[in-house]
Amino acid sequence: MPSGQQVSTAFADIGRFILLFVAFIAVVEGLLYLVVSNGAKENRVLRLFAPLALAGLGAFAVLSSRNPKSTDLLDSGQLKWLIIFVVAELLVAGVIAGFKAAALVGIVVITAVAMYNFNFNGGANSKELFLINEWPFALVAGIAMFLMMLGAVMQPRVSMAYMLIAPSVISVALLVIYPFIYTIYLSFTNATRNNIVFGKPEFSLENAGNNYGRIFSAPLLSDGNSGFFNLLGITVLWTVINVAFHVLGGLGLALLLNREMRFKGIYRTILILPWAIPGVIAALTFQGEFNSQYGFINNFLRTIGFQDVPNWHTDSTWAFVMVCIVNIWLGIPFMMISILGGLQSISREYYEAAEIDGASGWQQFRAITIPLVQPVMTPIIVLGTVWTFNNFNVIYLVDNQGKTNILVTGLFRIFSELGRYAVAAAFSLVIFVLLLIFAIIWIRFNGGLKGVYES
Amino acid sequence: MAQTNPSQMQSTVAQPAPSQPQLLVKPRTGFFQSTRGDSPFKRLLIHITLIIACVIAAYPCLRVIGVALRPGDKLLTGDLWFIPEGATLQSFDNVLTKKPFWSWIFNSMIITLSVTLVGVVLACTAAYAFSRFKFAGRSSGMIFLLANQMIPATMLIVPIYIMLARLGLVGSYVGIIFAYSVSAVPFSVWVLKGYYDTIPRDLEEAAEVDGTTKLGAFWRVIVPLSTPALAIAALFNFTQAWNEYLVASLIFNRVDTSTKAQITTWPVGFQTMIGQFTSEWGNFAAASVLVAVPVMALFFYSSRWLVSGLTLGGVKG
Repeated sequence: MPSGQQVSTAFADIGRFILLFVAFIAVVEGLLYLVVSNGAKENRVLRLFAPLALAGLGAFAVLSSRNPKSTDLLDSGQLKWLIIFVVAELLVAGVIAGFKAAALVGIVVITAVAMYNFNFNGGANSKELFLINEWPFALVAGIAMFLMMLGAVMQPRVSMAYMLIAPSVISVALLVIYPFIYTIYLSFTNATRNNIVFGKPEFSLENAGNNYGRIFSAPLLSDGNSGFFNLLGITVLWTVINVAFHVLGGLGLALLLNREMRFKGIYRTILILPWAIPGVIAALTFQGEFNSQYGFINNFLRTIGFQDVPNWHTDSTWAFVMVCIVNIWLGIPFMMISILGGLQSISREYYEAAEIDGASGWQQFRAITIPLVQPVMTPIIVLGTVWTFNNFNVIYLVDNQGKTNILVTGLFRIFSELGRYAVAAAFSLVIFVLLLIFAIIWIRFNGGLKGVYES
Repeated sequence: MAQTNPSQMQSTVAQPAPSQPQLLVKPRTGFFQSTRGDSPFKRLLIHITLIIACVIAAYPCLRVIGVALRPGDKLLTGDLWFIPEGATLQSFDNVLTKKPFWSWIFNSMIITLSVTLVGVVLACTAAYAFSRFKFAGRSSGMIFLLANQMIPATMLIVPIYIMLARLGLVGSYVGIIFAYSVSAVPFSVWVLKGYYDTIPRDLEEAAEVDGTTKLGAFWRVIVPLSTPALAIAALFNFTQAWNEYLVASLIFNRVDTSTKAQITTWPVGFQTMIGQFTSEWGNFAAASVLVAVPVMALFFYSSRWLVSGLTLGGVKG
């Protein structure tokens, strides 16, 4: 059972999270309201957002300044500051009706100063509000924000839409765009595990040259022979093998199942087991079952007469075969179900017409089945390719000795095992560029994402 | 004619009329398409193929149960049959009483439930705006959300870990809930927007004529009508957060200073149990069975409309 202390920590944390979340929403909505409220003045509910935002901003500042080691929801020092902030900002909020813009600037300045003065880390080392304290990045972010708000002001009648999408777009930006910019920044530094939290990595072009140069010239992992091109080659091989087997296996089983027969439901249910089982459990199970002495794979091979069984975990070629087998096993059911859905939507009349014209089974397959199933298969294959390319879990968990590495597991090892944060950042940008090229090619050939966002 | 029994009737009808056989010909058996008239030999072949595939699919799953039932002294045998001799529930007992199993499940549960709630709330309002309002930046906003799906999680791990480390949020629930709930938002927005698009606008307009606001119409009309899509989004958030390993292993994985217990989620906790093929193997298998059975039951219960639900957003042109 979880200990009492753990439960109370959990609930304190959840409470803090909910407060932070509400404060965050209030800040976003309130600021947006202040900027775009021209068309919504008569709406009393919306008007509440302004003071709410200011109180929320204060709460946000105070709560995020908590001591990470404290298990209290709020310690007394924070509580004092919270009360002072809420009162002060509610007072200022009263002014808003008259001098909206001035009040807005005032509040932002007050809160920014307050947040700067709080110890963000609960310790003596960090007083920075933003992780990047290089002014060019702040400038770019500021301009982008200004343009966004300007765009909102130009369209006062749609303020509601902006208020509705703002929380998701901003949280996605916080979790994806900001880290992305930070990655670019990191790749220009000499950051490592040792200087990142309690030191200051040095920002220079020279470091960038070292980081990017290192990726393309030197071995990246501790095994000494995994350079970038080696990893890329294995990744491409891994992706091609897996997607090919997924599609062939899925299509074959779907064709077999797409007929009236006995036990069809039972077969279907059993065949999707690998998809239903939680991926981590499947991967860890196979890690054990590929044990050369006790796992069932080798025991089965011995039973049917192979005495010279491979040592899956220590031989790097067999390790690659091992992860491919596991991933193929895991991936076929999804393909099978998707393709089966496509097959079932094909009208039988096409086949009957083809029969009358004397087409053979293979001709029917090529002329009817393949073209009609293709619209279902193309997006799944593209999706499957990206998934396989980025598949971290199977390789990392099944091959626990680290004999096989694709790009993403290599990235993780540079980061977590070697602690070379700057090199890892540069490496991840290189991977990103590869994926971007793939996406651009795909969009070119498929006429884009039109169907996705146009209604 | 009046005495002809029904079965004979049927057989006469089913027979092709001799004068025009090509019109009533039964579909011939082809290997590549579905036909009713497969020959017995071919049918046998298909059944054998499917049975082999089923064995390959099911054996590793059954094997986990078998290992979980093994007694401690027979843990490391080369036995292929999945029901062991002297089957015992000892491993289950070990997991439930001697391992921090419940603590891991508790953490996963807390995180998963919070993530589901936050993720669905964020996504359903945004999807409503994308579906019903025309505003500058609508399509670019949608592309922005979708483009995020392309960035691999492994890539963002580096900056997010540093960010949370400097905010002092590594090992706290706040950081991981934030990271998880946001990562599923784009997909949920996509599914929900597609579903909202199929709901006629007349319903909201009628509600507005009756005196509610735009938000009121959303809350009273759209939300109740879109329950199936909301369920899919919630299920997606739930499974994503419940099964996640990579992020959790970095940002929610600490050892409690006083009790020396490892505070983490179950995927990371399980991974520590299976360092090698050791005495923990049975415990790992038992714990896996305990976690996998409810998850798989949920999966099979929801799979039918999950698959159809995923295409809800995609079918319109």
